[in-house]
Amino acid sequence: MKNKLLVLISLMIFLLLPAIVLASGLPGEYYDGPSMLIQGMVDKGVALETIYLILILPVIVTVIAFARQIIGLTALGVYTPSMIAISFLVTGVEYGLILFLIAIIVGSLGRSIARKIRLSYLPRMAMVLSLVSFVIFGVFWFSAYYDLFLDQLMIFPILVMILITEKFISVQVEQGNKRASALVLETLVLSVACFFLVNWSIVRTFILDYPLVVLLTLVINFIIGKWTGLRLFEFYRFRKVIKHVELAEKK
Amino acid sequence: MLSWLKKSKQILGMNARNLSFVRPGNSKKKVALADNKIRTKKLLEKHGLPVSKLICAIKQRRDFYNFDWNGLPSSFVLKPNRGLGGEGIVVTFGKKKNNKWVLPNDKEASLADIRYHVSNILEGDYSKTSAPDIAFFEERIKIHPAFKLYSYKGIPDIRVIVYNRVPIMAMLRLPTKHSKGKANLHQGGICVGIDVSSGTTTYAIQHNHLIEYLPDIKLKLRGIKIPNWDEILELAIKATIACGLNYVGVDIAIDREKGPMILELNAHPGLSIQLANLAPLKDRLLRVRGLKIRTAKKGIKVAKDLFGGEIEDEVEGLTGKKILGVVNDIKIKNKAGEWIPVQAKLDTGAGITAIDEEFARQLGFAEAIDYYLGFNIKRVLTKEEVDDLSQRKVWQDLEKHKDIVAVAKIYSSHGISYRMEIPLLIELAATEINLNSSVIIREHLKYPIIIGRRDLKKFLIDPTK
Repeated sequence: MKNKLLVLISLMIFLLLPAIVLASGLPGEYYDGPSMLIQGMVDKGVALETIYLILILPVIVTVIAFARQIIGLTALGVYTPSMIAISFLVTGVEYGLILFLIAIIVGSLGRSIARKIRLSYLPRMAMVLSLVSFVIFGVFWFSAYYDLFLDQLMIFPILVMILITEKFISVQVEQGNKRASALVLETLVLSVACFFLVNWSIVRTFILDYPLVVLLTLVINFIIGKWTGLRLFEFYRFRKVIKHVELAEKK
Repeated sequence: MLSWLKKSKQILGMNARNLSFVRPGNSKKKVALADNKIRTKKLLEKHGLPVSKLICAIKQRRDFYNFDWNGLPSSFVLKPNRGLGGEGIVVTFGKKKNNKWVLPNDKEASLADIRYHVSNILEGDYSKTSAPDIAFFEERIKIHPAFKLYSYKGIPDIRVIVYNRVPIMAMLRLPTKHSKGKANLHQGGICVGIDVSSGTTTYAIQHNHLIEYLPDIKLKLRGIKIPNWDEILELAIKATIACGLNYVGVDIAIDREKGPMILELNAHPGLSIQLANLAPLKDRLLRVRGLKIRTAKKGIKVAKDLFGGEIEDEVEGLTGKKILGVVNDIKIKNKAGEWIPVQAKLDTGAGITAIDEEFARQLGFAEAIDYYLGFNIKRVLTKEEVDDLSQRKVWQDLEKHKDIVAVAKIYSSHGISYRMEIPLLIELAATEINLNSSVIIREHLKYPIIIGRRDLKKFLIDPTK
């Protein structure tokens, strides 16, 4: 009972917080471009895109938390899908996906080859990642030669892809091929979903108009963190057990 | 739909496991202990609990170079200290003449292979965060004969979930060809649910699907009796008391000579055990929450009282055989076609069903009985007399009567009898059975008919019922 009261009080505080933010008049007029706060920063020379990315990050992370706790999509942690989503923003989703798949496939192939040669873990991983780099270099060359995606060739997202390959390979070693592939698929789905959310113009203008709305994610995460019900996928996973449950007769 | 939602509330999900059961009962320090296999082993040993013997631990590079590799026994298990879900474990079964070890998947490993694997473990290939790890060798547990048919190469183990010192749910994990001799579920092993109160297996799953039989050899997976069941439950509870965790999965294997041994403890035991048992965990956990359990014996008793009782229906479902008590109300059809109710004793000590002579007369077999009496066969005979009857082929003459379908020689403590058999149609436990019954004077006995083994094949007899 006491516990429930505590939750209620903290909820009130968390709900009041954004209400105050919204009511305080910090944001500018709704239809007339970004809030004063952001306008000021942009006037001083900060890139609007950078401001948006830093503000949207809490939203992406919240979506990932929601997907894990409520839906049951595990993905490779929080960091990996959010990084991929943001790099998709820069490279565009088609080109990003192609790069991602190339990195994963070459990485796995490289690993299975490197496993045959006896090497210590780090040098082995370094070799695999080098291989991924070479192949992506080849893709660059191909793009340059045929004038494809030229404006999307940026080093940051590509570095992210390569680093993610390492994560994928270490999961492959620790938890097996099947589990790792499932995790990668879940990560991809989640990243693409996040990408579309972030790229949605309504979300974009809303966040830039009311930047402190992002604080709401604290409340959402608080609720998600306290949720002890079954995840959506668990309803499916345990459907046969649910069928077998016998409810106790009422006294 | 509403009742479906209500039912789903009894299932334990990942969120509830972590928030409501793992976190409140398991302190971080103790979880770290359970994740460390060598420390767990030492702690359990200190509490006098059986664990497989540590041969040697290789903690760092220096140990790796100084280790006497040629001193390795012909059979051992090599494990990463903080391994996850059984990855990185190597089991060897013996040494070949070419100085190589035999592996479960019919492959072999040279000393160089073993050294390479140890090196990888040290570098953290199999640890949670790819952090450097410790490799250790331990004695291999020898498979118990009860499981020999059921497991492919590896050693089956039993997972018992203990909460608040009460064993909540259990399953047997069988390594298969597909799982390369490992018993972990996600590697393709088979999980078989175990009824906590009786130690008998119930349902089985592989790759999250219910299965009835062991693949390949079509062996039924239900109704396997786990040996040393009470001892296993006791060990599981004592292990949780020793390590101080309140919600744990205890993995136990049974050694052919040394009996049950604790393999490892798991502070975040998986949820698939609910599938293997087709039973919800959360409901059971809530039922034992807050109970004050001091000893392992009490914990076992609570578990058996709370989570037992279903097994009887279970056994009926599993074996397809009904469980009956010793004395049953049955009906017998008389010659006029009416059902006559009577009490019968089910006697597994008797081979053939026997009916009282007077009662058989009432049923309409008087003519046959008089025909039999006309042969003037003594009630109790000696061996020679029976041999004489057999030689004269008296049974051929007896069977000339249409109601006498056979003749039986019954051996008992007070001699041998030479009885006629009559056909009967009875109804026992709602099942109609056609049987042949021998006829004998039973007037001094309580029940006019006893039913013998030959006609009880469809039933199981529970003498306490």
